[in-house]
Amino acid sequence: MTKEKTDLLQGTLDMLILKALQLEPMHGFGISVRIRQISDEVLQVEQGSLYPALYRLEDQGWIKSEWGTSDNNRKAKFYSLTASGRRQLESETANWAKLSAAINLVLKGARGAASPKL
Amino acid sequence: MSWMPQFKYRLRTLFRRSVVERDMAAEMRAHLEMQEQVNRAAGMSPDEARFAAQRQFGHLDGIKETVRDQCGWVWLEQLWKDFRFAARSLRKSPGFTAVALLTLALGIGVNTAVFSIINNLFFQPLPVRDPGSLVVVAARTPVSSLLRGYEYPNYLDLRAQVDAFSDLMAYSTAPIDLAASGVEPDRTYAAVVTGNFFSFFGVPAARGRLFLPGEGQEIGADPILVLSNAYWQQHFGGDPSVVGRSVNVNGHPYIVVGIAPATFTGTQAGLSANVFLPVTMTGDLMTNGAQLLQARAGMPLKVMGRLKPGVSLDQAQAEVATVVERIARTYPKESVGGTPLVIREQRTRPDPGFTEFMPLISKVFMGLVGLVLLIACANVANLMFLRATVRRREMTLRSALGASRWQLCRQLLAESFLLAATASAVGLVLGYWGASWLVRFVSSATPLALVGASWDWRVFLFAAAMALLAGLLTGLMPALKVSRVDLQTSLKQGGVALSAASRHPFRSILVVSQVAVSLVVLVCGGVFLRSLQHVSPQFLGFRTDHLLMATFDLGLHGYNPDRAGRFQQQLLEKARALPGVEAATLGTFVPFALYSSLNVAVPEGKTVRGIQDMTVTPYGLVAPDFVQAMGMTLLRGRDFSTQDKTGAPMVAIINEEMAAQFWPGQDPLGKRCYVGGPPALEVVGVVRTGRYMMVGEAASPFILQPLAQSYDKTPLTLYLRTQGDPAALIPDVRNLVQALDPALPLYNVETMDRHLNDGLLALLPLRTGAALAVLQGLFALVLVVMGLYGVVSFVASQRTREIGIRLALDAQKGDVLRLVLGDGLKLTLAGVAIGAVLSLALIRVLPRILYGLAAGSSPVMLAAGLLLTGIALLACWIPARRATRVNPVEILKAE
Repeated sequence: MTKEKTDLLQGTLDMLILKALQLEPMHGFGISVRIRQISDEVLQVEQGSLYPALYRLEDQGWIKSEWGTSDNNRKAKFYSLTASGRRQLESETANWAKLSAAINLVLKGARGAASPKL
Repeated sequence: MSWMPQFKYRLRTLFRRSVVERDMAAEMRAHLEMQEQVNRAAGMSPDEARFAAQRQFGHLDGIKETVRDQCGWVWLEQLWKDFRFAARSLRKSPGFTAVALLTLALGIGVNTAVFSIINNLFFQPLPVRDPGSLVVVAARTPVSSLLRGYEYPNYLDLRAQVDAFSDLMAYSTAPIDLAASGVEPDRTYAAVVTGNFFSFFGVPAARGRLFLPGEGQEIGADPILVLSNAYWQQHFGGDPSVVGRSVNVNGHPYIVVGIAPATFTGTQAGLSANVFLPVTMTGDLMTNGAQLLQARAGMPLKVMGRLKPGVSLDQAQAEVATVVERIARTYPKESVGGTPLVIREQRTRPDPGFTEFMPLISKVFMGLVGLVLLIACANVANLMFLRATVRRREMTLRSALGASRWQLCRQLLAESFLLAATASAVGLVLGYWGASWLVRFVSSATPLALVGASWDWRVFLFAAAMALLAGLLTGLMPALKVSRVDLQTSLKQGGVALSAASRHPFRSILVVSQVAVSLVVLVCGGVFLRSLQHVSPQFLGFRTDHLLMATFDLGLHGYNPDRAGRFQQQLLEKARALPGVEAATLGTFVPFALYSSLNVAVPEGKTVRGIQDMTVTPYGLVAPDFVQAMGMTLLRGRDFSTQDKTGAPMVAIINEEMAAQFWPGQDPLGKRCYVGGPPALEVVGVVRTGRYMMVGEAASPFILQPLAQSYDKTPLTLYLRTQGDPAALIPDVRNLVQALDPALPLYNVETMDRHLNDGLLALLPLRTGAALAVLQGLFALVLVVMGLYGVVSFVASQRTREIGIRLALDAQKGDVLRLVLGDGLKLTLAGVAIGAVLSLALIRVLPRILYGLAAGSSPVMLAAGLLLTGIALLACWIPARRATRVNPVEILKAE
């Protein structure tokens, strides 16, 4: 397992979790379901990555947790965004937009370069 | 506060570990159950649903582990574990731990002790109001490297005309004789201060009052004094009725107006003044004192100022320069010149006379600290090495089990840091004792008492810094070296070790240098001891046994020559009449005194163009029978007698050395020479050359003159040659002087043997040096033995297989012995060779205290070398013997 790879995944996962929590507090299971749902079943979050990420985000102060009861009356730990978490989500979203736009440009440019120039 | 929740969270993860763990488990369990429910809703059987959920979730403990590892406190937890493990492994080898601990603790203790005194002398602010604004005003002159103060009239002008200071104060110190009814007269040091002294510092009186605004203004008008709290306690037993009482200063009546507070000890940080007198009373303190005080060029006082808020040093300096220039223009004849300086008080310690003393002492001190600590650390590092190599198997095993090099390193470092930290704590305690001993020692040797050591945060910070440094120094090299475990060879246990040197160059270097250092220190100790043996009456030039001395100062009490002569006459007569006294005499000369009187001498007929043509010589004015009473050896001529008085021919007794220098190859008797100036003195006696100012000095000329022919105002010492214990006569002598003049204190009352042994310029340095060197030498010897033993037994154990094979192949035990001993012997001889060269160099440059004594150090060196080699061989012998007992069959079977 190389470090760079996890870093990249982690960063992305962090953003996805923050996004999932944007609307309402949620427990871990709920977050994994939500991410799967909004991504049209493309992104499957492994529990082995989800929980370390949750604890890390809490350690960073971006989310906070509270015990509560779930829809079917089960005790569960609910995570919610903090103010700094919200700011973090905004900046990460912006960064992501910039990054993906840039990558798109590169990919298009690469196609363009393959065709003969005038 | 956005960091608050995060901070709270972190604290919780640190201190409420179990709660966090429980939370985590519950949370994951809830997750599993939810998944299970979803699975069941999708139509799985209960069992299937649970297994599927578990499968999906993955390894529960693994996830928890990942969570824990990324928690912000892992490093702390690991550190704690490292230290706990280090503590356990140190406890398992108490011998090593004790030696290492003691070595480091001694090193750190010595440094802490010295630092606590330095701290007090140089870093503590004066215990007065607003110490930060205090500055010293002085002049740098081209004639001297010392700073010069300002004379009293110049000080008054500065005080009146310089606007940069809120106030200026001036002071000096002077020896005084203080007597009071019911108290033993005492010779002590007074701070002679301007009237505003106490208000300048903002110090209140502890009892009575201090100097009032009108006092200390008019010359000779205020015979009053203030006692320091310590002096009041020591000499007046803290008697409150002393305030308002009349006491006697140099024979003049003074009123004690008050007692200074205990915290205030004077102007110089770390040095205490006992008595405070107005500077206007200088007339009572020295001959022509009143005139000297009022001269514009004569007797400079030390001047201190308080900067007004917002005024810079440069501004103040410029203002002082302007005023000084004006004074110089007004009194061109009296001007001594020089560039005015305004310096922060703290930078002028310990004495405003010295410039830039503090940076220098700091550098010297840092150097010494570094050296002492380095020696201790080198020794401990070697021990650590020894220990680490013994633990190679452990390291290999841990490495094989997946410990990284960094983890192994960290483990060893944790041990060294733990050791260093503990040693530092022990060192603080040792340092505390050491400092109080040092303070007592220094106080007894210098006129002004050191106030003491300061134990504040600076000392603790210093000790902590030393612990860190020591931890790093002792741990780093061994850790880096040992943690480089080569799994392949170590696990196989196969490779035949080459030799000690090639396997462990660092340790071999340590052992060699230890042998070398040990030799140097032993040689030093030996030379010191031999020098001590060398000190005999023949060498010193007089008999030190059964001799009592006691000093008094008639000059301070204003005795004129007539009165002084009568006093001396009576004192001698009564002293000779004391039971048990064989002879009594008087002299201004005291061998090995802190302040020796010197004079210049020139043989008659020699042309003198300047000081370079004169001979500077120790000199004394002495009463009749001095030579005989002191036990000096009269080689030619006669001793002084009562006939050598005023009006009689002026005569002198010289020593052999002087005779040889002045009249080589001629009979010195009847020759004439000038001492200090005309008239010429006739040589009537020649004594054997001795030692006069320092025990270690080179042979020096020496000249004596009859006291009766040249009275001067320096202190006189009474010498009594006794039949029994000279110390037994001390009360008699005190009573005798009391009866003659109750206000006259006796000081330096001690036996000559004691004076010789404890004198700073006599044998004290030698004795201390010998004791320290011998101790250090033995200590080094122990370390050498342990180091060699370690290296040799390690190498021998590495070669067990080889030795077994050799024995199996019919090698003799002697061969094996030689094989193993050879390694140790090589290291020892290398160390002895290097040490010998170093000792030779050291003996050459050993300070003057050994001059004339260092001859014949080669037997010492030979003895030390033999001793060291012998002991080293013994240290190697034990592992070598063990190696010969190797059972070849067992070794070969074990393969």
